[in-house]
Amino acid sequence: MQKKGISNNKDKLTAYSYTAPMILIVGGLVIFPFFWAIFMSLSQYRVGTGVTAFVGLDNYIQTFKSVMFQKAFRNTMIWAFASVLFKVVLGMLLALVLNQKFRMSGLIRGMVLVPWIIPTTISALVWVWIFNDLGGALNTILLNLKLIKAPVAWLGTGKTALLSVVSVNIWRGTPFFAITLLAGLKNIPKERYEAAKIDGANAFQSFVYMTLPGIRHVLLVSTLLETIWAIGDFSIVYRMTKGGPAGATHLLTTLTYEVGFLSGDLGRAVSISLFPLPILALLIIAITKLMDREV
Amino acid sequence: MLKRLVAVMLVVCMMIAFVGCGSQPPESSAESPGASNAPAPANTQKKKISILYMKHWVPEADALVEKRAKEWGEKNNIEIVFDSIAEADFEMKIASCIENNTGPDLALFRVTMPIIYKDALLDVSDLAEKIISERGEFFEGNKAECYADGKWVTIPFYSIMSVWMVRTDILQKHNLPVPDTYEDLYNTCAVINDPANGVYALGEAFSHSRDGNTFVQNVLWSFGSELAGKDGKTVTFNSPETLAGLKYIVSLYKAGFIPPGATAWDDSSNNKAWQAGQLAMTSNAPGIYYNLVKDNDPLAAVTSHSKWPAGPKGRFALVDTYSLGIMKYTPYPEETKALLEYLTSDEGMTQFYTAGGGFQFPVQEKYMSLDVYKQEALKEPVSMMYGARSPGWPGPLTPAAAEVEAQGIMVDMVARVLVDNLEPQAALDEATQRIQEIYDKYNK
Repeated sequence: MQKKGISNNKDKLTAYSYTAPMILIVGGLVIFPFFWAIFMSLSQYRVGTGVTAFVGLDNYIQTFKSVMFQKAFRNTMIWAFASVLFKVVLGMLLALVLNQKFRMSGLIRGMVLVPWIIPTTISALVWVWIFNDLGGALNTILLNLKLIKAPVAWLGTGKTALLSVVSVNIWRGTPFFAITLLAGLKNIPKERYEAAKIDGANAFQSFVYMTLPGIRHVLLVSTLLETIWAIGDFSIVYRMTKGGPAGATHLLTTLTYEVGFLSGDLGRAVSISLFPLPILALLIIAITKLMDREV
Repeated sequence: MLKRLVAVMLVVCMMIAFVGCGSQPPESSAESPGASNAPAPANTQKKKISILYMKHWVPEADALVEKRAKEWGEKNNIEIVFDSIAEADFEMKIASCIENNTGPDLALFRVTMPIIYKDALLDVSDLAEKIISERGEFFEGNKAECYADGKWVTIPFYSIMSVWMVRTDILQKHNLPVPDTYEDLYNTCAVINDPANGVYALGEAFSHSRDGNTFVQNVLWSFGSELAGKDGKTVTFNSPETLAGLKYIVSLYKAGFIPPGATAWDDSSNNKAWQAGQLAMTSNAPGIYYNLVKDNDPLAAVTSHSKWPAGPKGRFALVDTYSLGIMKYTPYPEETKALLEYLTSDEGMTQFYTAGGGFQFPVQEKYMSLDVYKQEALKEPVSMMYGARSPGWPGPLTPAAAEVEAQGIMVDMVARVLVDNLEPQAALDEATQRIQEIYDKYNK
């Protein structure tokens, strides 16, 4: 019995020592920064001064009351959910097309990824030029097609600015969905479709009863991941509009940058960035459960 | 037993590695090489001073600073690392360095940054006072952007100022002079505006950009607007003067003198529009002119710089001071201060302004007499350095005023009227509320 006990302790120590590196890494890179961020958000904390006072929920209260935060929160939700919705629909359509056999399909599959591969800074600059009201490509095309009578300031008005940056996000993110869903489609055995066809199923029925269930998990996981990424997205909006005009495209991330890095108020900035945490937490729990179910 | 020993050693190694990440920088040397050529102690390991610099559009001036810093390093047996980055990346980098207590020893700061990061900067009052005693006072606007809590936190190095740019050929075609007042400006715009033929009378950004902030601030000052009282604590922004200035700016846009997309312009947009011949007037640093000359663009011959128009309360110009500051965390404060003294010496400043071709305006009157500032294109706008103001004026440039500037609240106020069709008074009320929130934070 005694020997067994020693052996257990020895095994435990060995087990702990093997897991220690991972615990240290996760603790150092994930858990500690997370709790430090929460502590910062409850403090008066400026760049260079560190914590000068504990203010409790004051940062959250002041942030919540702020006009610009309210705009940024609303914009972030529109940005995330509109982007993801369109990416899912367009990505699915693209995946279905790419799943067909046709000439140069391999090349086209590669080409589809181009928007996703181009560095965001470069694509944002190109889109700024496309949307420019002084000689921008979009206005030139629409004017030549006589679809508009005068150039439109796509990024310059409240109504069109958010629409424009969201459309760039959709353009950029759709290839990811398409390729991910295509991988899911490839896993569905072709024999099932053939059997369904023999049984008289039409294309729509095949899609609803065969394709969707077949890629359900891929679709859900990629949708949830994309929503999380969208809520944390920064580059497109910052490079294209810096949150303007008049906050019409401000996201929580761009506002956080402005308050934290440009104004030096890290405590308030962290409180802004933590506001979507409950939504993100729910999404993360959903993903984890889904993955567990998959396993 | 061996397995257990290995496991324990593994854990210890990991702990040491983590602790090592947070090790402190080496202790500062008590000896200083001074601004002269005094050598560093020969038996010590070679010291290293890092400089973080912001790229300027006159590369010759940047190259001179790097060359002089490295020359000083060679003479003093100190390795100099000169890192020049784009302005857009600077804030994030310097904030990270300050928070991590590691990074450059000496950095070039811009406008309100020394006030925002004042607690992370070494007091350089002794050097500033020495420079003042030898070469005279710094311009008021420059001082305000480098002086906080009764001490100098950075040394003013150069000024960038938006100047009023006009297309002389367009004005001549209509037999019009350069507008002297904002009333003249409106009337001039009404005559020369020709968007149907691709030329707008005026190009001003109403977005979160330096150009946007500068234009709005200068016009508001000219109408008598004040952000806060002279105590730097009482918000006095909501006034009939601010409202009048706001309505004036709105009138320029609504009359169609300014491209509609200017609400989304960045700092380069008016440069591009000017170079494409789409604007008759704009305000910008003389970088546009510099590039036109460099590219042998025929527009250079018809591009002229002048003073900003005057409003009912006078003629105002915001100045962007670029200043050099020493990080508190530097392990070599004395050596870095000696390097700073060398870079800002009389000889150094003269060489620097000359290398910059006059596009970097001086921070002291002494240098106004340099030949580079006598050239026709710069002579008039550089004279505005005498009345140049900093954000927050007539109050001091406090962290609250700096934050208002950093968040572009004034330009947002204009954009709210232009983009969201808010009534000017409602936009002013909203801006005042945002400003008050910031001031309340600091007044607690």
